Amino acid sequence: MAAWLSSVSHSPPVANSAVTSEQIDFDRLFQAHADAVYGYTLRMVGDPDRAADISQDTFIKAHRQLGTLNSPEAARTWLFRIASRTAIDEIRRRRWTHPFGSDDFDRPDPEPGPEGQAMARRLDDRLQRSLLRLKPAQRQCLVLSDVEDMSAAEIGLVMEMTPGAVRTLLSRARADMRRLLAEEGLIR
Amino acid sequence: MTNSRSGHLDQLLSAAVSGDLTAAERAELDAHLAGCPSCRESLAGQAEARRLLAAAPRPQAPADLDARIRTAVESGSGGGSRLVRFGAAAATVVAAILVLAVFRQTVDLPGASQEPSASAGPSQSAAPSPSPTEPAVEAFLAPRDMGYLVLSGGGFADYQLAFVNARTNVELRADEAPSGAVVASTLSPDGRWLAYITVMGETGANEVWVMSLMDWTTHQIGCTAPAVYSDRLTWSADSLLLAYTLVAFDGASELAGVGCHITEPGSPGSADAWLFDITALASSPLTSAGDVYVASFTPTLSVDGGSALWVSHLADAPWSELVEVNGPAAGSMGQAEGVFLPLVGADGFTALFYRPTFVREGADWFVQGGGTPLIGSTTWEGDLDPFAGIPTIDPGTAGSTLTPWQVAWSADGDSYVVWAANWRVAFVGKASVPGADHVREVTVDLPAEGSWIVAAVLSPDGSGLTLTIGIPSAGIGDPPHSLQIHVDLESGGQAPGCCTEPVWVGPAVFAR
Repeated sequence: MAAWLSSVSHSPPVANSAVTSEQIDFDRLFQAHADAVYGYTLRMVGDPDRAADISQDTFIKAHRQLGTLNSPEAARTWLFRIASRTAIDEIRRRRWTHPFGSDDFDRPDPEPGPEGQAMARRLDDRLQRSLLRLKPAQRQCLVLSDVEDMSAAEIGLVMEMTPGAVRTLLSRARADMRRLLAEEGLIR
Repeated sequence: MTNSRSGHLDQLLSAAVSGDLTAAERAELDAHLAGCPSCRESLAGQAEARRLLAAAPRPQAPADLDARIRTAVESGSGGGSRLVRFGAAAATVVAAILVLAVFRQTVDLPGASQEPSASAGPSQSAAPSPSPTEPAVEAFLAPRDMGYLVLSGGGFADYQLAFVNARTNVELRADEAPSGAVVASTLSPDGRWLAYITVMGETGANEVWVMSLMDWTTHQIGCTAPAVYSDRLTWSADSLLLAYTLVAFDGASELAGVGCHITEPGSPGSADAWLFDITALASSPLTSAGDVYVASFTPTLSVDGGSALWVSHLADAPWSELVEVNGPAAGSMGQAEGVFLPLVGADGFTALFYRPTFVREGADWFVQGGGTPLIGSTTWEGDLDPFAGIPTIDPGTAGSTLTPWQVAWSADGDSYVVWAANWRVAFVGKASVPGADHVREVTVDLPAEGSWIVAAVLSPDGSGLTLTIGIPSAGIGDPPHSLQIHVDLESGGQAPGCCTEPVWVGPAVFAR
């Protein structure tokens, strides 16, 4: 990490600087996973602004902890674990500081800017509303499985649970999600 | 159809949707579906739900996210603080930064409301211990290793204390031994510190200690009355703070001469939450209300790097509050009426807790009812209020509501154990399948009349249970001793652990 910062501070502007191996690794990590991490956090909290903040915090923490990443193959589950912890922490804090206005059950707030409004149009509000009515752990599990196509073992690494516990949690999540989508008129 | 049968079927349906069935499971499910139209409908509905999620548009990260991250890292404000969205101008800002920002973690010490009490002893001399930013030294316990304290020797003045790695049998000899049995112990998340509570000889008091597993120095961080519910030791997620309860007792001042420098002020029975800061090697009270018991730190730090601690107020109608003990948002974050000692699991939401009522007799509090541990979420879950828990064990279990049941989680946050000192059955359940119907009973073969369960600890994956069983002393002057029993929760088999000679084995701990 120090080498990367050093290359930034003592070199010409970022676009032309001599690139260290650490800078390449983090850049590659970001390019490969930024959209997926953002999409995951957006599914978790339903609000583009909060999702952007959580994604930012996730990659900042990832940069700080880059030395703990054992192999490139583990990067995805490693990043999603950081994102999960950050998102869950934010959900918990928000519920305690906004006890009567828990907006996780509301629609995603429309963004004032054009980018946010475009995001709101692209997301199916009814699908997202159903997701937000799930328990946070169920929501996590279902998104990691059905959106990110992770296996039970991978989900276990992200959520720090055994694959058996993941399987049980996922079965409950699917049953609840089916009921919620039926209430929204999306499935029978 | 019983709950367990329908639960198994639900798992098969879900696994079919995930494409995760074994051949045998596929055959079992197909056979069932052939005769169950509602199950076929359920399968079709779940599969459609998965298809909808998988086909939903994938949003792109905001265009300025990269620049925001770089700006935060390079300016050294990468402690999780929120930045105003910069948009396209961020790239220019980054290019203009020339000063190298040293990037380091900082930890805020407890705020002004937690001033040291008059009875607090002098800060411990700064024994060598690794700072948070030093490169990690190899830990004494590897991930998932089990360790335990062993107290051996001939008597109160002659004890030796060692911490043993159960896998390698390597021992760390402590620089100072306590004067009695170890009744509680907890390992820090980073595996570098062990906190433990010991009986203080024949004084009737207990001592609270921490031991560094890097240089095996020990620090006595308080003396307390041995009160029910007062033996929670909980580490912050960053391993920098230990929270514990000190209860005031008669005769504390007389014990100052034998090492009791840190005690709870106030009348006997008065209790408060204390914090030990490993970077300063110093203790200070977090609360001064006189009715506070430490419950548990949340398993993750807040986004601003602060640590949040659940504490409980002991009263006729107890209540709990979540307190951020450091960081820019330090202070109370919310309260939960009627809830006592929430023990938060690894997911950060699910907790084991109580809803007891108490009655006070003199300096002592007694459980009047509601002692059965509950399991539930600390936050809103769908239509359920926070802490709308369900019993972990059958409230009809004899003495259930009045017994001081204890609870513990496995590291994976799914399995939990419920036990009581004088109850020869321990109960193991799973948060993923909550409720007394699904709990498993483990009958313990107590080795002698009067022996008791000191502690029950689950292995990190919940597949094993290690019990510490106290053996009654032969009389005054006879050193206490205990033994371990390991239970394989999958086969049900029980096997002896440490040790063959009469020593006191402390509660087991597992590295993460």
